[in-house]
Amino acid sequence: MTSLKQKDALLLTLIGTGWIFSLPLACLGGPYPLDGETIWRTLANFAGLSVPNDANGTQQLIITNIRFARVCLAAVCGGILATSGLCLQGVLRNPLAEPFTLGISAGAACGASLAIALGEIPLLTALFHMPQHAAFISLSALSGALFAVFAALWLGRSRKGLDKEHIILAGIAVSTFFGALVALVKALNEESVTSIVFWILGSFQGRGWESMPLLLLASLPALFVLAFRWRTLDVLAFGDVQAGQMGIDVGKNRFLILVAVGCMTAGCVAVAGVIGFVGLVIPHTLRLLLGAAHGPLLIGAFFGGGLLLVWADVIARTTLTGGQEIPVGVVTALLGGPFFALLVKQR
Amino acid sequence: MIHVESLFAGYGPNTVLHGIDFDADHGEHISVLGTNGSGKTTFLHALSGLLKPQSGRILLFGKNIAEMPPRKRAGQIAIMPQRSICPPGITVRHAVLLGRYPHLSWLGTFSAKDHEIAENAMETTRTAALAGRMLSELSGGEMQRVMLARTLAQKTPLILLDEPAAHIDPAYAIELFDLLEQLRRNGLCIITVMHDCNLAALYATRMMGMKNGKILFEGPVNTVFSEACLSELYSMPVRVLRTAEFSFPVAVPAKTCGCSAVPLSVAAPTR
Repeated sequence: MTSLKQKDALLLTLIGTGWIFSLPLACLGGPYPLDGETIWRTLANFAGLSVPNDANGTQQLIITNIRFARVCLAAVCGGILATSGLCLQGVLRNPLAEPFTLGISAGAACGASLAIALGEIPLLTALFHMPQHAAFISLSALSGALFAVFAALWLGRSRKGLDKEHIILAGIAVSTFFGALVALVKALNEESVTSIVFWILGSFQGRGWESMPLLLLASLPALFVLAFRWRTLDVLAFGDVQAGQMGIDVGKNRFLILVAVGCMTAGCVAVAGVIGFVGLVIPHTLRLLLGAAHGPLLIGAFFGGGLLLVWADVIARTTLTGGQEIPVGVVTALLGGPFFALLVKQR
Repeated sequence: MIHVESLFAGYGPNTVLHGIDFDADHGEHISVLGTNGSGKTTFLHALSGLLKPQSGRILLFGKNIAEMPPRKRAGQIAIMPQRSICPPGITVRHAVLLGRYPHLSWLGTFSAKDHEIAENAMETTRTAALAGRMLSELSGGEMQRVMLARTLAQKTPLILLDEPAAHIDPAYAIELFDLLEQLRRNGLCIITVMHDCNLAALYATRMMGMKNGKILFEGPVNTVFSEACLSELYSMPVRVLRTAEFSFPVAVPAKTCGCSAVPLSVAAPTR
């Protein structure tokens, strides 16, 4: 048992160390060439350390306000998505559950699509003074995602309480409905199709520190709720009846976990769009390496998810030339898909 | 210890238990007998506090279990299910340790005492050798023993067991019931739901027969383990055999078409 715990601790230390070192290292990639020393000195100054720095204003702006902000957003979003996937798979006892099972992605996509389509109408833009279009899209996506979560929870409440099968079915119903609304918006407003499609695929392009408060506001309380329920998730693995017999108020805990997951995923989607696969790949990979105890899994998922998304974003912004980017959701699926398939095959 | 008063319980609008009155105390082993659908398992679920009574009440040490917080209730009542889900990636040791859940602090970490109690529970149930194995690798009998170890790790004064001998061989069934007998002698109250009335008669201090959600008979084994009670319980003629060779009675169905009912001389193959 000791050796098992040592192995877990070693792996978690490795993931955590990789996460910390990735934050400055990931700032290297991008269309504007920057060397490691400039990045290190600028970030040290940014963190309040007095290190001599000869970086010019443009370099400092790119490093602190664009790349580092983007890396931090990717690290937090990746952590949220992986943690959400892990918790949903645990609380719904369904290995296919992922952060978007509750219809969050469709709800957010619907909110964002409406915002994008409305933003294309010059009269509305002028009337309602919508210069900060990105913020409007984010808030609209957040509202859509939260509406979808609570609709799924309301529909999923059966006579037996918050039953896991009912929740999954409710999530499918909500997804289908909002998916249809997105299709309707695209059909009615053809000019917005490209923007909607690009938003749905997920990207950190153009996101900066201004997105961080929204993300933290949505995720910190939720992470706090989840952090004290790791043992509850362990017991829930034995099914509702046994969990109840072992002293868990299954309905209350399931509701709290689902609301927490819903809120933080909604925040993440509002900032970066729909980034799939992180919530599926990271939890399953970690389960193979760490076992099924949710304590180490939650820590591993937060840092592992962050690590994956930080480097997926580096690939997304460095592969194409001329400032063009691949949507990060495409990169996570392209990287994660074959890797995940290999893991499943080897199991 | 536990006092059940005019209990009506069921699922949704359906009432399964109709006016049950029941008492059990320290050092008792009560076996609940009955046919399928008689309400035995529903009764056990109601006693565990998971199934809320439609009317009536269940008092544990004078407190209504319906009003107890789930964790506090699980610290007093443990239940061993008939079958358990085997979550992947969970070791036997971790599963047994999870029996300590009702006693954990808000941080959810296991203390040295929790580890010691879990190790003792595994020693008692002879599952210590399986500690590092995954639950999904166990046989039905091994799983049953692990679930008993988890139940014992809960350290409760009342233990409820749903068909504890259902998936285990006769030798281990005896071993398991010997262990329950030890626990009973140590002052625990044990309530078992059983189909095997002969095994129940060997170990129970009291028996209760349930039919159509009502108590048909209830009392000490030597009083209620009779042809009249069992025949009425199972709606078929039952003989209770008492021989000088064995100190305990054995119940057998009096009417059967099985091959053992055919005299051996006739059953022998002929050319």
